[in-house]
Amino acid sequence: MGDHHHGPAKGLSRWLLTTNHKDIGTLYLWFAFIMFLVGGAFAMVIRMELFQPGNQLVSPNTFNQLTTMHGLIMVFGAIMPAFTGFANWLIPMMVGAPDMALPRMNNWSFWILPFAFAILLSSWFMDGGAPNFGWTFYAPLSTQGPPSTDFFILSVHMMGISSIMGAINVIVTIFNMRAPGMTLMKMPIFCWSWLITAFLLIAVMPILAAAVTMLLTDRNFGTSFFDAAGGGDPVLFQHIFWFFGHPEVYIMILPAFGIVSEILPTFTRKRLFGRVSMIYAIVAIAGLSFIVWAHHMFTTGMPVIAGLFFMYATMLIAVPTGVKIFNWAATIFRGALTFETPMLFALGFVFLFTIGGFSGLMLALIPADIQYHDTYFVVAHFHYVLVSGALFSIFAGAYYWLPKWTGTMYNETLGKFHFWLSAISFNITFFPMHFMGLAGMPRRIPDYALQFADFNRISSIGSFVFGLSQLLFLYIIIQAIRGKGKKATDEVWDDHPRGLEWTLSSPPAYHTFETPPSEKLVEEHH
Amino acid sequence: MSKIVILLLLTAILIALFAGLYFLMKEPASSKRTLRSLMVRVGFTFVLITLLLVAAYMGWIAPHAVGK
Amino acid sequence: MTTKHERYYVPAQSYWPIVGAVGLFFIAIGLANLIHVFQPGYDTSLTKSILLLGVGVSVIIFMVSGWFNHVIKENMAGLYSAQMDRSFRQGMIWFIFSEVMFFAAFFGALFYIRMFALPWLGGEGSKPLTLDLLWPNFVAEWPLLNNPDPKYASPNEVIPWHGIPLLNTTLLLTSGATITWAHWALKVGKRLQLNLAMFCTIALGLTFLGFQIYEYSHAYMDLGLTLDSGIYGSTFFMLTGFHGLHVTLGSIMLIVILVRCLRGSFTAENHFAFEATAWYWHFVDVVWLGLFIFVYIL
Repeated sequence: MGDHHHGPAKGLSRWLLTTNHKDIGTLYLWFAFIMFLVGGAFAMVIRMELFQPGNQLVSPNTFNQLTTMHGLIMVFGAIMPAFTGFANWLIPMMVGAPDMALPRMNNWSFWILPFAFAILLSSWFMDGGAPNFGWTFYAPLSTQGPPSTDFFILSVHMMGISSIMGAINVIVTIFNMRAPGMTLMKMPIFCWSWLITAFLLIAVMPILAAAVTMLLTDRNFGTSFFDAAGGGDPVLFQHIFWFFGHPEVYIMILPAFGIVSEILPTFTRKRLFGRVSMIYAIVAIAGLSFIVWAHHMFTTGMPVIAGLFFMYATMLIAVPTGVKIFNWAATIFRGALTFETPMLFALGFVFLFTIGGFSGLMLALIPADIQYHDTYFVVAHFHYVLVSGALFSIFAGAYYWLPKWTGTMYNETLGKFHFWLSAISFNITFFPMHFMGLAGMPRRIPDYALQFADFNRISSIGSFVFGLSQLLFLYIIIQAIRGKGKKATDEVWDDHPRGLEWTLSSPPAYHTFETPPSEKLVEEHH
Repeated sequence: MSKIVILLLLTAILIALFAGLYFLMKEPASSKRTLRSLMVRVGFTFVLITLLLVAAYMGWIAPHAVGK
Repeated sequence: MTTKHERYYVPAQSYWPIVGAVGLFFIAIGLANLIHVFQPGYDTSLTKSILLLGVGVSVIIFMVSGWFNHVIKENMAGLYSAQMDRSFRQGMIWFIFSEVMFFAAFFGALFYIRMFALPWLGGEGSKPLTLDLLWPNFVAEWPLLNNPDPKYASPNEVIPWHGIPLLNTTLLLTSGATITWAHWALKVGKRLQLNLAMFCTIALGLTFLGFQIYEYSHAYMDLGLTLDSGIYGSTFFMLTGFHGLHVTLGSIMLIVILVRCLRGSFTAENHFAFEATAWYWHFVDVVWLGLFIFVYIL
């Protein structure tokens, strides 16, 4: 057996065969970034098509394929793997573990993804083109979808296997690998957010697997789960999908909460306000996520009593989410603030995510939702929670831990440029969508009525700026990785940082915490 | 009535089964608690199937008539 | 090296995972192509699809056996600590949880169809128009023997619960008892009884599978109950099919365990693999109980 003190292997085999959580974290993050650019390119074409009324660039069917692939790739290919990348890099360093609990399975979880997305993306070149029924693949659109749908289904199975194994690894690492003295309540809040996320993943990815399996048999083996002609029900698909889908959207936001809760205390020079209530709020949000799924289906129809239940349960989520927002505000309150790039993105997150939260609350009201459903208001809402929520937190986290990972400070001026460009162009892109939606413009259409032309043009211009700004991010990251910049100290930001990762050198050794840190160290950095 | 009893027994079986899983994880290998929970679950299953047979024979449940 | 590994064992680089990923890739494209072979309007080659699928399955079998062998060797070499052992256990438990959720989705679909979808299609409550406008002659009943639309040929008969299903229930319950017997025998060190009881359990499990296959062919040949005979057939075959798959998996695991029992690998103190497999068998048995009650009887 190999000695414990080996460094990274040379060449490609380092990445293909690695069992090192830092390598695998890096792989996840790069994969997510590449997918982000691919999904972003699709979004650019969508915005070009919508730049003015009439058919400009792509056929309506291609447009539908673009929206579908944009959604699938951003959800399963960009946001989720990016957070898993953070989990891989940080959780072992934060809990004082030598690596993830099951390192080989960790490698498997990652390497399934490129193959799965190769299959998904190859559907562009198949007869009938890529899936064209939206990322929610509602039956009967998907049961009658193009032949590539079957490839899409099997690639979703692979993504599910990958996510479940990744989540098992996170949960076991947190339960079994914490350094002595690190009780669950002393554990960093990022680890807490991922613990709950991992639980959600293991609970709902099998539901998605079952949904696509039924879809596969409905399409090819004559079952009638989603066909009323045989006694099934297309609405059943929506119930199953959203029983997966609603926890899924929290899978994409809970780690963001964790990252922001790590960053705000550093740049306010205060402890996180209401830490314990923050943890309970995460647990409460996760619990509620299982009983609100039908709020995505108010216009589908359901018994009044069920509608009322789902409406009130949904509004209840505002309570723990409010706890989080107020705690972040209280953390900022009277802090000694500085505005480095991670802080800017974290503050951007708090402001803009709250807007997304409020529009979510509006959508929770049945009578209002019947008006808003499937309009651009919904598009605005989920981009406020997913772009300025999840994605901004990913940027924030990347800037925050990049000096630790690479040992080099990124270029602060360019970082700030990246923030302001992103934040402003984001709002130019998505804020007008609220108005378009309220005025009645439906989503997922390649053409629209003339009165929406101005807002759409503004939106498109914003999106092009947003898209281009991300190339700046790529440049900043590459410069830091290549060591072009100031050397980062081990503490990086603060003289008295909290969290065990700051006790390691910048960059950390290939293997860290091979023997667990002492209880004293854990206590000092808690 | 029989249906409620059936569901209760099914719940008891599930609890015994997952208690077994819990002990499998938490208890040392020499512990007999996993074995004991699984014995309980086999016992309950036996009771449940007997009950199902009796109930069907006595006409308390009409197989395939739920919700009617 | 004479020092005992108290530290957590972080394995060196391994090629099993990437082999596994390639295997899954081939299985996925092979399966998707194979499915298309049997669909009208595709010109997918049967040989190529089977070749792709075969490559995928062989690679996965190669990976699983190789990976397990590797792990067993590491275990024998004493590289694993008690902490490592806990990682494996907890990992397995969370995997089981994902399995539970997978079955929960199919059970949930069954309950939704029976409690909401079919009654609504039959015009219940606020849905008289649904009945009038879609299929006015439809009568909601379960098991559904008259599909709303003739597009789906209706099954002729329901599978009677007191024939093979009851027999199979008895078989699986007995196998639950015999594996408990084996478990007990292992704990008190009665090797002969252990091996005997394990053998009985496997025999019962395989008999169950045999009857299940017979029942399927009976359903297809005589009852007209097929995957495409409407929602009754769909739910019936999906639920019992996935359960059958788990019985198959469980039987393979039991056979591996029996071989290890015969070799004397387990002691009263060290038998996690045995207990985990035994528990898995109980789990499969309880899922069957749920199926027996909700699919066949109620």
